[in-house]
Amino acid sequence: MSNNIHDKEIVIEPPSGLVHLNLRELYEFRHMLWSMIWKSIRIQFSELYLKFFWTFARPLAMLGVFIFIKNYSGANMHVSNISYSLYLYSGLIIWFYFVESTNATAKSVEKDAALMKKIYFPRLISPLVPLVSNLYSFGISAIPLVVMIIWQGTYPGWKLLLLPLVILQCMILILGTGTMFASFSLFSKDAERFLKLVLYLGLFVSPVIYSPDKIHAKSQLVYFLNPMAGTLLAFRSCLFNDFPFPFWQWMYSLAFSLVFIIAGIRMYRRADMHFADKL
Amino acid sequence: MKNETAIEVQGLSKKYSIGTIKKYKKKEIGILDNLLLPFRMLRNIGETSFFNKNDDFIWALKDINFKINHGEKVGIIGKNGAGKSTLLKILSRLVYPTEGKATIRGRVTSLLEVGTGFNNNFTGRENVYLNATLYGLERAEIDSIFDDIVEFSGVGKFLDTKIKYYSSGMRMRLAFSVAAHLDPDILLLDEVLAVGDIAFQQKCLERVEGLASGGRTIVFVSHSMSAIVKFCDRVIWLQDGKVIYDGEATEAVKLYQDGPLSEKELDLASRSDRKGTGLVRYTKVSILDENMNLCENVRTGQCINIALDYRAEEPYAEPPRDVKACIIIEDNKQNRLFGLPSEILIADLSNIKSTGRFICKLNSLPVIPGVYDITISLLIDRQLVDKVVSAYKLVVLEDDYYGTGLLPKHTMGRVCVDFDWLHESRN
Ligand SMILES: Nc1ncnc2c1ncn2[C@@H]1O[C@H](COP(=O)(O)OP(=O)(O)OP(=O)(O)O)[C@@H](O)[C@H]1O
Ligand SMILES: [Mg+2]
Repeated sequence: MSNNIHDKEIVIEPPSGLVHLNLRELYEFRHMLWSMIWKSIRIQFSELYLKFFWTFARPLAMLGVFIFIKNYSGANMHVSNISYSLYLYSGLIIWFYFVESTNATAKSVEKDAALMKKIYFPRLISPLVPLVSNLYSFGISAIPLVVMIIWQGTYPGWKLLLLPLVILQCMILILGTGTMFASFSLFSKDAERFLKLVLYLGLFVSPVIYSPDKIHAKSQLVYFLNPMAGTLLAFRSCLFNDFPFPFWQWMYSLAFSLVFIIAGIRMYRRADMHFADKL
Repeated sequence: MKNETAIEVQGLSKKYSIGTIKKYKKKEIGILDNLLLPFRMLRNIGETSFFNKNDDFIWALKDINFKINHGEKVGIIGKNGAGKSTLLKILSRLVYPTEGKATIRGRVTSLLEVGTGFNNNFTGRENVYLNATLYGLERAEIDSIFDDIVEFSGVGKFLDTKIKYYSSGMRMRLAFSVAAHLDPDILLLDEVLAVGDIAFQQKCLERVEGLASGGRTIVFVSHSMSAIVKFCDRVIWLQDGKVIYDGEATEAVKLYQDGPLSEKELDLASRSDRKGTGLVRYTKVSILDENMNLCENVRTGQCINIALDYRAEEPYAEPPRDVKACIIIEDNKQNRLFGLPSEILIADLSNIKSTGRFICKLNSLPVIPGVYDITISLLIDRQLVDKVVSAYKLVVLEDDYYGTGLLPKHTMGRVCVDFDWLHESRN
């Protein structure tokens, strides 16, 4: 058999203070990673007959509700350049991807604890699984968006090429936040509740439902401290040609994400050293 | 060139924190207490630090050393809580050691619990694939062994049924079949052979036997001594996190099964592998405590009496004057540690009758935990009358010899002596 995962000398020692990321090892375990990702996708859909429907249902229902409220209350969401329905739907799907993946990565250690007690694999695999597998639902929920884009004739331009970068930045942010909270929640379950609350409130303080133009100019600086603000606007800019690219805001989001992923993974590895016994 | 050693363990120790236990009083379980719990928790915030220094610790493993060569089959035995599973978990990289180092050369598969990663909502077929990838196989490799796995498991009929509709035995059969068809160099097994019905257990044993004869290295934890004797050439016996015996399997199992030491007084009279004229024969060795009661557990530093019963073939007409008895203590690798010859004390053992007993008192047994051989001999009038090599196996358990909770590591030898350290600093 050509399986060579363990075909070398393994030295087992007490955890050292040196925290480094073993990307080579992660690569060696890629088959396992893929298999766990597929499993996770299958689980999400295996018990649902109306599989696809449920994936769109939430953003579509919210779209309906908000358009209804907007039309009947006459509220101004300050969305310019594109239609409100496109603005809202595109915001909702990436926002839900962010929220669900962050929650899932934060819980991934707990979820895989039984496996970690019996099989060795690089610990980073656990949070990577929901991060990637949720992309699938994200993709499915983008189908109505594509239909709406074609319907309304608001086509993307060359900026579409930047889309993978923006999504990657979002994934980095998710992984950073997720691993950080996964480490915290090994100390105390309070962290998990805190994260849930923050993510819940996040919907209302991020440019998902309304445009940041609605915010007073002076408050905007504070508003854009939220790393998802830049991501949400950049995501839309990649999809809709007329929507301006929020360069500085997105640069901030990117920097924030990079800081978070470095901190998150360091904390994750540290937590692993202390808590491998307590899973 | 391939290194001979498959597994090398040096000074491996594992400390577990077992938590601070007295957090809630027993009476705090009424309805009111449950309602008040959220507020009571607040009180604990200050007390709980993340790395609680006040936690109680136990050493699940302490200073373990051994080497296992490629192709060796090693059984690990010991009582519940001796540290067997902990050792395999460290070797499988599931927990970190606290001290020491282990080196593993070759591809390892550990089966610490079968059925790992089975998902109830997937079919048997899907689960076989999933499970095998968790053990590091690629799709093509699984394809090639899939039929063997299914055939071995004998649940082929249910292959496309969801696992949740399997009986627990069927689940385990399938899980074990996956595990048994992996092809590792080193196989770590923790009590996994006890799955399924008798027929399947037999099949599992045969399979492991097949793997074993294929030159693989197997480390095998089991409470089934018959399985140990069957598969293993060598046994490592753990007790309280320490290796107390490392050697030949059948002998270890015999010692282990003999249970409490009091039952282990050997009937020496029947042993024929002895030297000397035979005018007087030792008939029994027993280990007694300071009150001359049979000693159940011998511990480092304990006061013991080694009693040697003898019988004279023919009563001496005139009791011999010059009688010298000697006890030699060896470790289980036949290194002499020390001797206890009666002659240097000018002890008077003369006046031998037809039967009797010599007693050698050790105020403090100076050896670290382990298994030791006691060799006894008797000289009468400068003539060797009797000598029995390895007349008794002494199993020594741990104790706090120095009052510090520490004992010398075995790399410093196996003997504990009384000593003190002083420091006189001069300016
Ligand atoms: N995660 C843990 N946290 C704290 N203590 C632990 C943990 N795991 C094991 N221990 C302790 O370590 C000691 C050794 O346990 P281990 O599971 O290695 O025993 P064992 O030899 O496998 O016993 P058995 O024959 O019952 O399987 C026990 O005292 C146990 O309580
Ligand atoms: Mg065990």
